[in-house]
Amino acid sequence: MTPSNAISREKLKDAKLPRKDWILLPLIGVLTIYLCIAVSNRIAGHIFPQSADGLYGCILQGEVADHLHGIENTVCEYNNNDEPITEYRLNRCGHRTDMECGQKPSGTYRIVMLGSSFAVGEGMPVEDTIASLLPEDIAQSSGRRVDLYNMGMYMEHPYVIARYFEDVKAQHPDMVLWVLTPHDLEAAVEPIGAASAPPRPKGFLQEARWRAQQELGNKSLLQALQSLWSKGMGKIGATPTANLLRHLLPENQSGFDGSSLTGIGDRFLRVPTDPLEQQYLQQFASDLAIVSKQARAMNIPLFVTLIPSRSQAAMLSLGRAKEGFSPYALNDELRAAVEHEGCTYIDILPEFHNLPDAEQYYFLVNGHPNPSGAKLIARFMANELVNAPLFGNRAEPASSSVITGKDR
Amino acid sequence: MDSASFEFVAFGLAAALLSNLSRSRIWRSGVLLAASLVFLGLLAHHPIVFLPLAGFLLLGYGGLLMIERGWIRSAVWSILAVILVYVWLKKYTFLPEGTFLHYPYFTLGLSYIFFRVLHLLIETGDSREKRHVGLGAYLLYTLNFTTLISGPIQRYDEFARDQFSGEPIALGAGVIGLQLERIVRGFFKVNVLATILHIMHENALLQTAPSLPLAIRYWAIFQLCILYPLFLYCNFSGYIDIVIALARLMRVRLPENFDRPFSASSYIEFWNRWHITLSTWLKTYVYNPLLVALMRRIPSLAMQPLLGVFCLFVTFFLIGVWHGRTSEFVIFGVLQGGGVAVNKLWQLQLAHGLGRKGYKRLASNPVYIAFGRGLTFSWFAFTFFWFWATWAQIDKVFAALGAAQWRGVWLAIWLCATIVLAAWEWLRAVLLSVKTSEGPILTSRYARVVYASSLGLLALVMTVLLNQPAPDIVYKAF
Repeated sequence: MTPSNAISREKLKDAKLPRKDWILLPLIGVLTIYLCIAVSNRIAGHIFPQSADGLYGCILQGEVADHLHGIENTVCEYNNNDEPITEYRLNRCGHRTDMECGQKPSGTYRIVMLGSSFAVGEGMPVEDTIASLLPEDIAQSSGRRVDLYNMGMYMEHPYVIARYFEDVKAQHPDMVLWVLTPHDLEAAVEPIGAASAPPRPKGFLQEARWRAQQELGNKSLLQALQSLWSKGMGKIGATPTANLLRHLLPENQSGFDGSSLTGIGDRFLRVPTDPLEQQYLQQFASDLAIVSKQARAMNIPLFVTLIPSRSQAAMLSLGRAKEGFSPYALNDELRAAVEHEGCTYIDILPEFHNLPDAEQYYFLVNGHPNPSGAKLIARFMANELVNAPLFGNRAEPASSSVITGKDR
Repeated sequence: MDSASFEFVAFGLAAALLSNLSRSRIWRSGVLLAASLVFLGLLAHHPIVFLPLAGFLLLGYGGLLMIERGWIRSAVWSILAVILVYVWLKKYTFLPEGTFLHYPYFTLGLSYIFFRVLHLLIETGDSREKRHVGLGAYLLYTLNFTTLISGPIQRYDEFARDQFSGEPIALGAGVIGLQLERIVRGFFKVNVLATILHIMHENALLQTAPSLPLAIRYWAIFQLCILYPLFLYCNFSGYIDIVIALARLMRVRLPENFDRPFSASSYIEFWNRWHITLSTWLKTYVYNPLLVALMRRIPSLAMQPLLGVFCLFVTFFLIGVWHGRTSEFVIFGVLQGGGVAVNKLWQLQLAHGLGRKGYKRLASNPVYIAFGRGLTFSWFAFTFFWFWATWAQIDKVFAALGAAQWRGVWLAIWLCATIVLAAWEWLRAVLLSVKTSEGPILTSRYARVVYASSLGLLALVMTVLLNQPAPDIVYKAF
């Protein structure tokens, strides 16, 4: 120990703590913590500003839980974590596209795109989205001119698509391209609607009891504490400071082999899939059956593709996976399900193989593709689409009545 | 239970709290023994895995009793038996494979227990005064949970002075505050800094592939060289901070193991500041006896400095070899011993060439000190390839650049280390020079509260964000 350190420590040891310090020192501690939080949040908020209104100006809750639909002719600004604040301009039908809703110029081959936030193009201007870039890439790859009508909407998970698939008819598609993400599969099971939860009572004590019941449920004390701890940690992780720090911290590249994957959709990278994932996949298969049945009834070819999650892309890029993990496992399951229904599966995963640092094509915190990622994915999709056998076949008028997901 | 985890800290604090319910030495010893046994139980669940460790402890105690009671004249046989059983339990590769026990058993902390047992045997053998170490005291000393896993290696008399004193050392609010601050600092070092440095090191290793552009490989190699010593320092010294503070809260003073090692301006000085208790142990029980023995055999005065160099080499070679059982660690030992020996020869040569005064003048020159500091860091960083890597990894890393490029990297490391460490020393001196009548402002209790609160908050947030367990304490494996 250096003399200066030793002396100062000894002095502190010998010194009796003055009475005022019993109040002053804890106060300094609390004040320090408060100042650290306030200052860091202010700085982080300056670097990653958050939109004031969010999406609620343009989106409404639908009939089923998690189903959202756009409000016609609205504009709002929104961002999620580390995305830039982005303008969302919805057309007359509440879709994020510049195209006129319900009309198709004659002689045009139209693709209607379905999917959730990846399809919407979260975090990027409309001209940078996959939906905007794909027609140009198809034209470059094949010389064919197509137009693409984007019906993608937040939380448009498989069970929602199965329920509302008939809506695509209004956009006169020649083909439907369903863009899936691993998160969609996780959300494949329809959640219990918020309406079934007991209403929040008024009054301080009643509300406190209601909150405790909501928190504890049937949990043991330990489970409740763990759940509270996780919630607390989750709240810390969602602060602007946490957002900023994530960008400053190095990411463990070697962890992408499966050693430390805990992101959204990463459960599907494990092999063999466990019973819960099997349940998700079965649910998806049943939703897909409904969708494909409707598509067949409308004589519209259905193409399905999977955009890999950030960690999945990184694992593909790394070119190796730890035992018990595979970036292709979900892809293989989906391909089997899609081909079983007689639809076309567009496999873009091989294109990610050995792409250096594929994770850089996604937003670090929220995991959506960034504009560079959208550009890359659109090119990969175009490469695969133009070579698909049914691509370019025009849809014939429907000959039979349509069975919809609402009837199940 | 991870060695420097939140759970470990909570466990240690609970033990400290219980221990302070009474000042009686029986109570405090009872709590320490119970906490140490519970700690062992948390590390392994089946009692059978502890049998070899129990046997080793009994062997040590048996030897101790025999020396105490005069049943054997010299401690040599007991020491040899303990060394042999230690080597056998640790499965050193030079022993025949067939002789080893082939079921999984507990060896965590065995090396540190080994040092403590040897120390007791040697000291008891050498001691002219009769003393008795009871079985309870022996178990407390060897199994103390605060020093079990990775030291520091405490001398028995120091342990006994604090643990068995009828008047335990004071534990006022000021001391408690200092220890809590030290726990926060240690936790931050292990769980945040070491984790980040480990991630960066792993990433750099991935970037050494020959297919990558030269600039990327250059940067990756530069990082690989400088990051590991920093990681190891945070990992080990952070853990030591935690256990020293926990022990102090239990009214036991553990010896310091680190003293700002990267401030050392020579390799010999470095080893006086890094893993101090290990190097002190080996200097006491290897260097000194060996030097005395050689000087008796070779009484030439002219040869004495060279004998000192030789003994330094042997001592630090053993330090290197102690770290592992594979051939990489033999090279690591040669490099440690070589570094210290060459450093000593350089000092002798300079003293011979410049005269004592001239050498002293040079050694106090700030530029000489700064470059010496940079070189010390660079050599230490270089030796670490044989510490963390396997031969396959070493081949891969060394193949990433050509010989001239490697020389460029080391020159850059030396220069950068010289500049950065000099700047750090300057900044530290400037900050500590801001004083009140009570001492430097930065070390005042108010500044320490600010420092500990902000560091604690940062540690909590970063632990959440890193979302992965901190790398294990490296020295736990030895």
